[in-house]
Amino acid sequence: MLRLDGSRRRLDEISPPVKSPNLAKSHSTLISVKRVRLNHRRRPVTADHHLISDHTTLDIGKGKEKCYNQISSKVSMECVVQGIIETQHVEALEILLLGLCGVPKESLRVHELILKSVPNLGLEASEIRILCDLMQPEPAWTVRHVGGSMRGAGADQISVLVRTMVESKASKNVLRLFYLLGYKLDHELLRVGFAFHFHLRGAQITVTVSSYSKMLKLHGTESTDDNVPVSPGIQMVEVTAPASAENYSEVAAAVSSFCEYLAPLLHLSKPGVSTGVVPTAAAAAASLMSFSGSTNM
Amino acid sequence: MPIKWVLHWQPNAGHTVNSQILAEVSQCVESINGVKEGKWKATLSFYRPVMKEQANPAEFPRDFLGISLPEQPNKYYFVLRGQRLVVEADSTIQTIMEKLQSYKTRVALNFEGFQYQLGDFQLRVGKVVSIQSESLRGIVMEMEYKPISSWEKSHKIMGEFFDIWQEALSKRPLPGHFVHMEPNFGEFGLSGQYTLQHTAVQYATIMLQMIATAQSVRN
Repeated sequence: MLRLDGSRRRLDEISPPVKSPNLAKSHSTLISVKRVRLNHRRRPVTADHHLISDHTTLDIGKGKEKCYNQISSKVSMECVVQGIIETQHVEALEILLLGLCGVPKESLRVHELILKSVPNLGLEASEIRILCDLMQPEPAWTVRHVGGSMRGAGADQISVLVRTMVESKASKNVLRLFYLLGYKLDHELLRVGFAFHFHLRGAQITVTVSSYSKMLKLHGTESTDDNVPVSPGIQMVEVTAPASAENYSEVAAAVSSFCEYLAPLLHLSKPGVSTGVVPTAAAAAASLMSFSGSTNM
Repeated sequence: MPIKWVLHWQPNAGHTVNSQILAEVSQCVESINGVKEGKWKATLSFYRPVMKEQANPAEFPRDFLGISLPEQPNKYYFVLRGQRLVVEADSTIQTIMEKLQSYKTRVALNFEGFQYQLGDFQLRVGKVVSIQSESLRGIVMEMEYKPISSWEKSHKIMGEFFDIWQEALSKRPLPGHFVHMEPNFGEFGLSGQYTLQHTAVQYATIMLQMIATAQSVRN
């Protein structure tokens, strides 16, 4: 286990490091997480108007955020940022995450099926994701709908993407249901890696580090011969946290704050905003590995 | 999960359902020492496809059912009768369907009434009302036998209890009777061990029957 200052510290006990432009600082940043207590309060979003594109509107007042009228409290949202890391540095990232999160990692093996509506169904085309968790003794199925993201000047001020997202666990025949309803398989992916789940400042954060593979055979999840990595040598890192119309600002701040801890190894940004690998990754990984080598793992 | 039969009221030819029949049925349960326990409510919605003008309706199911049951309010059941499919999902699936906007709920019905305890049996008697109009569309009855969860093993005792119930009800001059329709659960991929998916399939089956009855009265 990575030890910081002789004892493993949880993220909620420590303060965010200052973002450092060079490696020397990055290294000290990794270790400096032990020093200061976290009482950092972020400047609230003060945009007057945010828009979530799938028929929901958020109005946010100045100062303390308030959401009005058109968005129902039932609307589920998530805050999300993504980044990439070279596979050779994943072990270092895992060590860092283990130390920061204070919880064991969970293995991840998910079959993702992305379905789209046939042309004549619905006034607009729609997309649905069917996920099958292959790590469970019996494959567990989930239906996920990812909606529009928050837009507007206020959304631009937040460094994480806020979007609507609804999930529902379902019985194993849910794929057949959507086929019968007029949805067709667009593509399918196998996602393999690991995840950490933990709480930070009221946010329930999940970090996943995984690689995506395309399937050469329909539903070919069994054999590695049946799938090809989408980006060989690169793994996707995703930080997500469920939120609601009432608390998304605080959740976004928590996610954003967490991302700073990972800065020497990778840069996380809104999905679709590619920032590539960070130049400090190799040195930061080396220092983390040597650091972990000298401690009791 | 205890076994359950879902029955529906079949009016005699030329008759319709009315609230007086419901009152008589409830009194009859109490007359055989049924102890009133509280209210219950299930809902059933018809989902119909939203199609573009040029669409061929045969491409999509004409409709399918979404059912919520009081035993598991966090779950929701979809039944496609023609395709013999029943799916169990979290109740959030309703929000997902709303967001997809490819199917809309056109008609929604409430099944609501009182629950009675009668030894190892639990009886529920309820009216079927449209959420939009509150008009009475039918009468349903659930007969649950707590000690058994195997459909096959329960058949004898459920049949005997149903006969006793029919006999008790026959003492009242009511223009109709309760009907038990047994779906072929195997066709839906369900085993003999009773689950709420079995209940959803039974509701879908009686719904079909109630629509057929309503149409025959109209014609």
